[in-house]
Amino acid sequence: MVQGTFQSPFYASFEAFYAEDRVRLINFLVAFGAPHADAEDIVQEAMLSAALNWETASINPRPYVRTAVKRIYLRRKGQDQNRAWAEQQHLDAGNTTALFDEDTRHIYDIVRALPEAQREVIAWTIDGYKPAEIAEFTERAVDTMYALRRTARQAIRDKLVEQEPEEGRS
Amino acid sequence: MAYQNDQELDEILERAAGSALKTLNGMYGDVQQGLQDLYRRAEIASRSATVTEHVPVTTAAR
Repeated sequence: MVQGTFQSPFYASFEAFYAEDRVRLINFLVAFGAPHADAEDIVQEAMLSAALNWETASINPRPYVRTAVKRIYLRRKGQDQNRAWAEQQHLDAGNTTALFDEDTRHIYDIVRALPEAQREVIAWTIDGYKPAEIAEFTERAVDTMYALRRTARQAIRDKLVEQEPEEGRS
Repeated sequence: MAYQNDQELDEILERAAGSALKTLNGMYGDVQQGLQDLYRRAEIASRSATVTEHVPVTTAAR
């Protein structure tokens, strides 16, 4: 029985990981651009994959599930891009950041509007990862990660300056 | 401007992430409910796998 399997001592470490990382993973995916309701469902799918492959996933579970949610999100986005549902998802995305306070919404709207590769690096970065680690987990060059982070930071900075109230400018 | 250098900008991003996490935790912080949903999904996946495994056997028996 599946529930019994989950409750075996082997999965106690998975459940501890799930309790600790689930909401952080939703936050990662929201920063990456997913609507929060979709993010919850995608996170469950990724966590299920981790549970069923826990022997492998437990070696480095946080990068495992982050890589998984990215793949699932991009796959779903690709499948839905020609459907009216995609339009609804776009509207839901605006509702996602509306959950947050004004300052947080402002920052998340800027991050979520970045090109995909840049916002991915920022999502990993605000989750505590360095470019060398991101490069390893995403199987890309370290230099590319540094360049993407630099470009993303500059884009965020430019947007903040652009949106700064007139009276705040010196 | 409080975001002229990378460190200051990163601090702004971290503050936003912390605040977002707090909001999301209020919405999705029920671990037991999440695990129950996961058990349900695992059972469904398990049943699907069983059906898939039986298809070639049925086909071979015909």
